[in-house]
Amino acid sequence: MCISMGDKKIFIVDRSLPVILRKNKTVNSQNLIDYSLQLKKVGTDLLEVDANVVSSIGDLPDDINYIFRIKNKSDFIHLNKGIFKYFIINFKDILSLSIRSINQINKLPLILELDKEDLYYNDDEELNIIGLKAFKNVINFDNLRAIRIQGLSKCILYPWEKIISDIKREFDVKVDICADNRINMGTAVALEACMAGPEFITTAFYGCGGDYGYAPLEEVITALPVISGLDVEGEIKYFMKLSKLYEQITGVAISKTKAILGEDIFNYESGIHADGIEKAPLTYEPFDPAMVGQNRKMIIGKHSGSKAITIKLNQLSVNYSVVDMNTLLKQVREKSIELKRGILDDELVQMCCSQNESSFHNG
Amino acid sequence: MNYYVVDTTLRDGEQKAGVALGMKDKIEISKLLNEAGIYQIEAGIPAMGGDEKQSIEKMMELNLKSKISSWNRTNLSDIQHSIDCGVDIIHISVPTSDIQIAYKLNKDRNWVIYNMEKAISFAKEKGFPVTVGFEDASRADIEFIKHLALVAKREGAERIRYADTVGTVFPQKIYEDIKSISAKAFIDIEIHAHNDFGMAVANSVAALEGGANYINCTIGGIGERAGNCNFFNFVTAVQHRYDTGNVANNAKLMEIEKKILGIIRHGA
Repeated sequence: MCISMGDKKIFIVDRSLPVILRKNKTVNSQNLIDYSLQLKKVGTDLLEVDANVVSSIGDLPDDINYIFRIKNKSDFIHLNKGIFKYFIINFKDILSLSIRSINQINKLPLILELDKEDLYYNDDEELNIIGLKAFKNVINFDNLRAIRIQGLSKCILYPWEKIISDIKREFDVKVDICADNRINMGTAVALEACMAGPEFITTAFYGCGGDYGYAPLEEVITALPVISGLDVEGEIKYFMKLSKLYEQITGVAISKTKAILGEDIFNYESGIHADGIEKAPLTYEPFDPAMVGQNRKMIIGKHSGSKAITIKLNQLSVNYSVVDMNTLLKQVREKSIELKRGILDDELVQMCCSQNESSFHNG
Repeated sequence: MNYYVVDTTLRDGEQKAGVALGMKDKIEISKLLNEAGIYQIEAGIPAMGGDEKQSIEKMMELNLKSKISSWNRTNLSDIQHSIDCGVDIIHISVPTSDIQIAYKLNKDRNWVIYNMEKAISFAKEKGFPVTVGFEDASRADIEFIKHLALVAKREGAERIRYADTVGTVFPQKIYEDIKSISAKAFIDIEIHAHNDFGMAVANSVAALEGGANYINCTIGGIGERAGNCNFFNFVTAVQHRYDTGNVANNAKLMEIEKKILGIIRHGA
């Protein structure tokens, strides 16, 4: 899937695979393949892989586009496989290669990864022209396709159009923006950069990777149509399936309150919200949960009002005609506080039955 | 960059489905928030009555350094319950987007303006400082928001709250909106951000830079759906963005956060 901005296309990159494999050395190759295919299904255009991923999976699915990361000379055995759309190398890793090795990668369709601080003097975004000229004299790749900028954790409210224009002017290449989540602003950085029209946005599913995590794929892809109004292809309703695969592979449970993916995020309880959602879900939801493969669920608890409780009782086909609602509300609140959670369906039914029985005996 | 934290763990945080705090829990949490140096604690909703209202009354007896505020709908009965509690600040929430006005209230903008005026006057006549929350402001017509801000100020409100109720704003927009409101109304502005797209911290930072120097946070970022602006994450984001910071203070904040989350999960 790519994002359409008028005539322009922006491609989504996911770089979670190498990280997953580094942390989970015994992952089944079929699971990795399923995970890769699911990443493509939700809308990822390019998967970043490394030698470890290639060795683990064996035959990479050929209907996915890959970026292969070159870290050192030992990765060169993969260069001529003919299955990678791009190769990526960090500037610091180039410096550790021999001239002969640099020559070997010279003709590859290359993405060069740089830190923002390599490009700019300071936070006023004054381009480091002298440094860049020296750099271009040393690294003069014949087939440099794009520059990926990282080190962007603080870059909200940023002059993205100027930055992208600077890079294109100096290097005549495409631009890839990779925001990290060091201060929990990765998605915002990625989204605002997207609006300035780079060619690639690099993310990672569930934000995994790097020292601080990257802009989460699921947040960026869902925000683009909902907030920015951009057309995206891909089927984001499969995010929940992707979550399950991720949990299966990594053994890490997705946080229940994680944006987009968390299993509790479309639960609602408070009377005001329950009322609003019943009338029109968009009063209190940013988008229809079904859009990302989720469901909304009304929880009965301390903040439930009588209306929510009657809705729930109707759903459970419970006769509450002789139930005193004020008493039931009080019981629900007290029990919820005692248990430090919402009231389960059978607990609510039991409270009603107790009142019904009491009414029967007193009648 | 100076700012004041308005903690809403005990109100929006507790509205997270399945979270239920008793009086003892709320009192202990308020003491910890006070210890953390929080400027204002949004203690809850007195109109719920029962334990909820009593816990806010008890909180007032503690004479904490943190100011205690209560959340109210735009109705006089709610506000009377807050007056009964003797809180430091009465917060009145006003639906402002056309979605909310039409579907939630089944009213129109004039109704909202009229009832907001009435509600603010009622609280002010009783001698209470008032802040007004513009619910769903990020999806509202900004010109209507600016008009409401002017009216609120005219009626004596000390501050208005820009609420990104369903978490759909992004930094550039919120920055421009806050600057625009500030330039029109010259009133203190508070930001209330939700994390539906993981942008609550970024939006709160952008709002701060736009001129909103009261920041709503919750401990652990708990709140409706994907939660609110995480207090600790906001503090560290500002420290990194402006290269300021007090590491010793951060360690203390982390400890307090851990204790509060423990109370939320297991009770005081």
